[in-house]
Amino acid sequence: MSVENAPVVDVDEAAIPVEKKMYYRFESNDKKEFRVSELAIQQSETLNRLVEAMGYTSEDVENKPAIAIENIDGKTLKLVFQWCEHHKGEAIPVDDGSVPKIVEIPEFDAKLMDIDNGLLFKLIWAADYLNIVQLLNVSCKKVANMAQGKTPAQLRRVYLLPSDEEDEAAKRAAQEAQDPRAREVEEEFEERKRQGGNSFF
Amino acid sequence: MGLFYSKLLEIFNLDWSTKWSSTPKAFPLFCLPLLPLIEILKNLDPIELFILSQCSGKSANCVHIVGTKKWKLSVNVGEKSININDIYRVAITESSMKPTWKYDRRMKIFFSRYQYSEESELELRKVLSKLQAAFRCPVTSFEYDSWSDSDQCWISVLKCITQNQVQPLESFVFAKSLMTEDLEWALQNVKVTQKIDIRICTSRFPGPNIMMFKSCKFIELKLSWLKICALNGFIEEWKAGNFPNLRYMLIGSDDFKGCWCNHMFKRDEMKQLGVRRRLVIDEKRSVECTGGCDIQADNGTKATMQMNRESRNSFELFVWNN
Repeated sequence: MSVENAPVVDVDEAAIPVEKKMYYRFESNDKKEFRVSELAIQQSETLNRLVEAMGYTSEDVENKPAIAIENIDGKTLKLVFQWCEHHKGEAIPVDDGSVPKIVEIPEFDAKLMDIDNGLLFKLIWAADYLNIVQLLNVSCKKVANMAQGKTPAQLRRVYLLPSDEEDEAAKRAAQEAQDPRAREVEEEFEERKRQGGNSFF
Repeated sequence: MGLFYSKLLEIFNLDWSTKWSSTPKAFPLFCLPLLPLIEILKNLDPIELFILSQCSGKSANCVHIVGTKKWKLSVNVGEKSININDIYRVAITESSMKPTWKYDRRMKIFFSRYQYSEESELELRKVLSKLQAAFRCPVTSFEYDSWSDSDQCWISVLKCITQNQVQPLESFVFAKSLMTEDLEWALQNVKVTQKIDIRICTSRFPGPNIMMFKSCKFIELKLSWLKICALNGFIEEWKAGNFPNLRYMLIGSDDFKGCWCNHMFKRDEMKQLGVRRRLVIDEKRSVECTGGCDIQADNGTKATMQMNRESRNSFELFVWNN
């Protein structure tokens, strides 16, 4: 039967059961609690799998303790869930392999990421941990944009890249910290050399 | 501090006139987990990655993780330029002033200006070595077809390429009046899989042995100094299936003006007839066949031989798929 020929039926809209939206509760490592919609959670592959595995009902969500996310603090998690709520229902992007990667930062995301680099670092870390593909894309794009027009020396300051000498010194320090006796032996050896001894033993 | 920056400027070919824009508060890039680090690097274009690679040994070692298989370099010695993925270009130019560089993002060209010295010819090789070290990718194309002053440079660059990679070149384009032993060295040592295009402007050169290009898809030897008898040998080899990848060959030689009595085909049999057929060699190249003489290899592959399409002294072979 075509749509045009179908009988017209009066529908009492109030009688149609409205599916109740479910909001999950999450807790950051500094004990801040967040309520996040089921649809928003789908942006995070990690959280989505977690809530699917838990199989919570609406009652469970209210009565059971909030799901703890122990690696992320409240300030960062707030940004993450704000982003997820804004982008809920959007398709998860797939990397098309273009070089360089083509990523547009929407206005909302740009405002959300108008934060200091310490918090941006935590946001990227959280997006990676929670496997939120598009949040990782836009936040990494923001960091990549910092490189535009920079000289190597400037890049070293922007990205805190140690020089080869600093890397070498850090490596030596790490080795010495691992084996304090090695330094003592080295100092003893140098002292004996100064005293004119040919043999260490 | 002053000495430290002077050293940096020396290493990175900068000068004090380089504009130093204010930098945002630092972001500890290498403290990130591997996946976000790769994602950030994926957002940098090849020139930005190259600039990053010049910051330290550690940064040079991380650039290739973005995807070695995605990168390829094309060297043009005459133009003193290196193309990355046929899109981004590193152009090396001589200057009487202090070394500088500039990246034009819109044009996708990185201009590296170096101060002229006795070692100037090594500049292209130096930059190529840095690019190869950073991207860890092969050079796929080598081109040298100008009359510039890079005579001593091309062979050192070519040797650098063959020493640093096992992978053969896809394309080798060469046109020059040159030292015979250098070209002979090149023809003996350079392996090419796709396109070979050689134009030799000196009759002292005895002509290349076509059998050295057995794996090529596209052979173009204008001004080859080859003898007509070499064509007989080539056709026999092709019929026996010894050029399995060949789709198109053009050989130009003054010797083709001469006597064809010993050739297996008569010159008139291969003239153009006005029937046009287009042979698509690959996505970048296609050629037009306008007649000639059809031949068939022992394995059934069909081809057309043609004379005089571009000049009086050129022989062409079009190999048809199906």
